[in-house]
Amino acid sequence: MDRGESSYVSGVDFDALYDEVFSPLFRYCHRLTGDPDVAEDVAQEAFVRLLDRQVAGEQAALRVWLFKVATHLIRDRWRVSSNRRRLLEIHPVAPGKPPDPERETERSQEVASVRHALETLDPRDRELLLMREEGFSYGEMAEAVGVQATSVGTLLARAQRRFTNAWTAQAGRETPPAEPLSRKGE
Amino acid sequence: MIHPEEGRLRALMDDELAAQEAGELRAHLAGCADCNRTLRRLQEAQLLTTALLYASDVLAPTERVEARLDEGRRGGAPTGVVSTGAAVRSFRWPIGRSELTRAALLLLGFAGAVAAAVHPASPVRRWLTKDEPGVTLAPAPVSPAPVAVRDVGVRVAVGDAGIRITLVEMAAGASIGVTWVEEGPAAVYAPEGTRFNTSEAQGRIEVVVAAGPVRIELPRSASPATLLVNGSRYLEKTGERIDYAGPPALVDGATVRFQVR
Repeated sequence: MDRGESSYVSGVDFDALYDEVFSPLFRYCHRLTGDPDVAEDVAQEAFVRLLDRQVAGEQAALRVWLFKVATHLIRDRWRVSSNRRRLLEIHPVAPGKPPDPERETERSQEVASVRHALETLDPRDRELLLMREEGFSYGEMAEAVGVQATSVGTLLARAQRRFTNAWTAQAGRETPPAEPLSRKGE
Repeated sequence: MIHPEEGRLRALMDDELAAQEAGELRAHLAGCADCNRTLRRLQEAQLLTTALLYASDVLAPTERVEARLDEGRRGGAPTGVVSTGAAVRSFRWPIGRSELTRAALLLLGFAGAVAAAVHPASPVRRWLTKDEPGVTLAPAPVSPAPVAVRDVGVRVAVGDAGIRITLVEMAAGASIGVTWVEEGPAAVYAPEGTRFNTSEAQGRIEVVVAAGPVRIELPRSASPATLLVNGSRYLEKTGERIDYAGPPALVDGATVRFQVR
């Protein structure tokens, strides 16, 4: 991007926003979909909508806005193309040119395991889990995903347990961690 | 005994509780082995989740998208075609797939070290420490590296706008040391060949790094202070709060060290 012509979106430095948000947004979309091409399209579309609609706000708020738009774009894609998920399960995307075929095969299996574990989650739980990985606060996550901020901790704990259990349960890995104790009076 | 809900322990772990509620929960934890186990399990799950997700990541195709957005902002329709002559770009992000493996190994090594420290008998630890070339538990994943003698650098006074330091073209594995100084300007030092662009009015330092390591000095009073590396946020300081959002941060006295992933 030409730094000599920094553009501003309703008072926000677009270049700075782009520098800060694009990579995390792409990573989030890739983790959600498992498809780098879809992730790139969605992340780009979110930024294009930001420019088109001249969305105003502080940089932090615009970051949430971009993730929210990307989340909804991905939800829409799932609604119209449910077969993609099945396809990704059958043919997970394994990035990278194999410098070592044996090692790359192992890596592909690991990537597939992670994707499978993510696919076991409800879409909302998956979104929360991945947004937390990007450092969002509970309030920001609640706004983007559409839940109560007070329930985020519970939803996150459950999502993470399901994710790690699904991952460890595969391919004869160790026994998954135990379910939580009853948190009520004992 | 009434135990707190798991979600509240998770919120405590994420620093999302009000001070009073957090205090009450910590008081309960001081005398409850069950809840300590639950909290430890939540922490382990977090470590494992982060390590697994990082290991599955691909790098962002930033430059291609930049070109398309440039087209859009000039009024042309986004075409998806990269035109290298369309604009003089001051910054380029390294997009090397081969870096992914190294990044994954680094992060797995870090997660393994932390998981072992948290819970030596953890199944997470057993997986993370399996025979992977380059993955070890014992040494810290980020090792201090001396800065070359022939460094060049810039200094920018930090005003109300704070300071934002952007490093690009940093190679995977290169080290960054951020030292908090009592007063003075923000400064960035890197080996010869590095290009700097500064704006004192905006509180910005943008650096195209020729090679690592990079040494940064930040005054403790700087707020907000942000460090971006290859498009990812490594450090964010607002008021007295400092968040390390990038790769593992190794705190060594007043210096925080990162290794670029």
